[in-house]
Amino acid sequence: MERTSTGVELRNLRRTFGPVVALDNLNLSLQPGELIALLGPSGCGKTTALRLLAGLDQPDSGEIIVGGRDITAIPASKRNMGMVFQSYSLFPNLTAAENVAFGLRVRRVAKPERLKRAAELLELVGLGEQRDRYPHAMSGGQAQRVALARAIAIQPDVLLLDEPLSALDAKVRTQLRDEIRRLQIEVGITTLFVTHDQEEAMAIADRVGVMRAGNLEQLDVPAVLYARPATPFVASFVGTNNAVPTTVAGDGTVEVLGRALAVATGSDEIPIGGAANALLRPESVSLVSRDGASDGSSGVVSSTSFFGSVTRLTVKLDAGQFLLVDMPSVIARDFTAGTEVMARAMTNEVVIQHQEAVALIDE
Amino acid sequence: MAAVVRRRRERHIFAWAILALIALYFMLPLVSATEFSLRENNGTHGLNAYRAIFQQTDLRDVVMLTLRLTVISVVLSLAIMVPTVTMVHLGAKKYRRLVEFISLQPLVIPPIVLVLGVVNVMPVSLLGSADLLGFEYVVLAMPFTFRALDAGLMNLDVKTIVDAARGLGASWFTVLVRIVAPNLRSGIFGAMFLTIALVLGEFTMASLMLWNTFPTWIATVGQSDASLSVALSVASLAFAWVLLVLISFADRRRKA
Repeated sequence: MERTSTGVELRNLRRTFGPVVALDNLNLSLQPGELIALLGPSGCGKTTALRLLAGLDQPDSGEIIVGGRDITAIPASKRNMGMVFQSYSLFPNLTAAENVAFGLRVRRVAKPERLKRAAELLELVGLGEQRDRYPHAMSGGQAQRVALARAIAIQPDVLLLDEPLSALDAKVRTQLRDEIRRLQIEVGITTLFVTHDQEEAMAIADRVGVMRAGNLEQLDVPAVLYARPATPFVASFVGTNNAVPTTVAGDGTVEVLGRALAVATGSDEIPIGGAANALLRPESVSLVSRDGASDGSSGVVSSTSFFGSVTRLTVKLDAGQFLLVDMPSVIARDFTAGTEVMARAMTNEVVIQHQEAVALIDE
Repeated sequence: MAAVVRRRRERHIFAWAILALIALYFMLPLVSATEFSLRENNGTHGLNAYRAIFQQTDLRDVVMLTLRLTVISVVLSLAIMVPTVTMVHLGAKKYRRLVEFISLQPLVIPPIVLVLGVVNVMPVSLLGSADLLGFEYVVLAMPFTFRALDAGLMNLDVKTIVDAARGLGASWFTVLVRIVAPNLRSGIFGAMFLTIALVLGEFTMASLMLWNTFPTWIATVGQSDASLSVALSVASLAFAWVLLVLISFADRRRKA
């Protein structure tokens, strides 16, 4: 399926619902053929951004540029966007093939041609045999595959995915996630994917945008987003963190688990001598048996959780604080509950934030 | 175990007894009316009253007028209420109570007030037409059409499928005709049936506006021939039942 990809630009998009600011001057640019995932907690404005791009809602101000053309005032039915929704959005009165062909029918494509294309697309999503089935006779995964085929059938300028996997069970979810990515690359379609699941966003996207309260906090490739979060919120929201109490030293470093670490983000906000929390990933902490070890912070393993290849240990430090530590399960066997350990930071820099910020983020 | 089985049997018998009582309550007047319509002068039973229906000279005109009013009422009701209730479910949920309140007004406003209101505001050119009655029946049917369509839309994620259809390039007309209406078939059939039943049974407005519809005609006939009048009532009821069965059958076939 040869096609030319289209770039998208959202400029200063603002949308309010009464006193609530859903989008606060959002700027976002998608390169042709790129898949960007918008990630954020409920109510952060990610779905609003998607609906504005689809034309299902209108911004208070700002511009939406697709393929160099301003489409802000163009209604949804004239925008040529393919969209897959969170809830199963198949038309219950139409079969799988009729659903896929619906957009083509609206575009007055001749019946033999649209049925042929519907059949091809259903083959592409692995549902060639299900073409005459009605939605009520399909599983959730099948319904979302048909919805995906239907969205692609019209050869849209942009593919919009509004949490399409959130209603599926874990296994189907992973399968369909990989299928979406395969199809997106195969078709070369510019895609905006909205999700609250960070693992999903990281796995599927070229770049991930983290949103909070109508603003885009950071837009970056997944590895950078994880390793060098631009704000304390991104650091807290993406992945799991330990918030280790510390104080900013005169040279701008912070002492964490017995080591002086450089501050990657957050030093602007906290003065020298100010109390802060250093955000430390569970995999950035190492444990050694307390016998013979002198550096680090001492504590006791209080519990373990087995995740397959990785085990997560909860360590209670002597100072009273709990610390999460991830390590390969083969090594974690040596650290059963009750083992006395020394915890050390295995990173050279950390993100810091105000101590009260943790509570704010958790809200 | 035996006690559980006994209790279950007792509950079963009780349920059937209640059902039988309700059936009796509804069926007794109908059976009596049917029996009365079948009575002959010589004390036997026969179909003379039903045969007499087809000998009435003005029957054709009355039936044609009633059918015309039925078509006007059904078409107008659906044309107004399907988009209205759909819009309420789509984005104007805060107006649902208001629309429901307005739709219930015909139940609390006396027919004479409605008739006088309509007569006072309608153009003179329309006042001489029986079709005006059709417009009034649309208002009278609103409590039933609103509820039937509202219940149908409750079972449908209408916002998502409308968004999906709009996103695929469908106009609002296409969305309503190709997506909403087919999925709202039960609700539309229900609204249709209730409107038809209302038109076939409405007496007050037609009588006040001096039109000879099926119900007013039955009342007039009843003044001179009680058997014929009751036979007509039973026949119209049977017609309504057949209609209901046909609608249920059509809806069930779609679901299958």
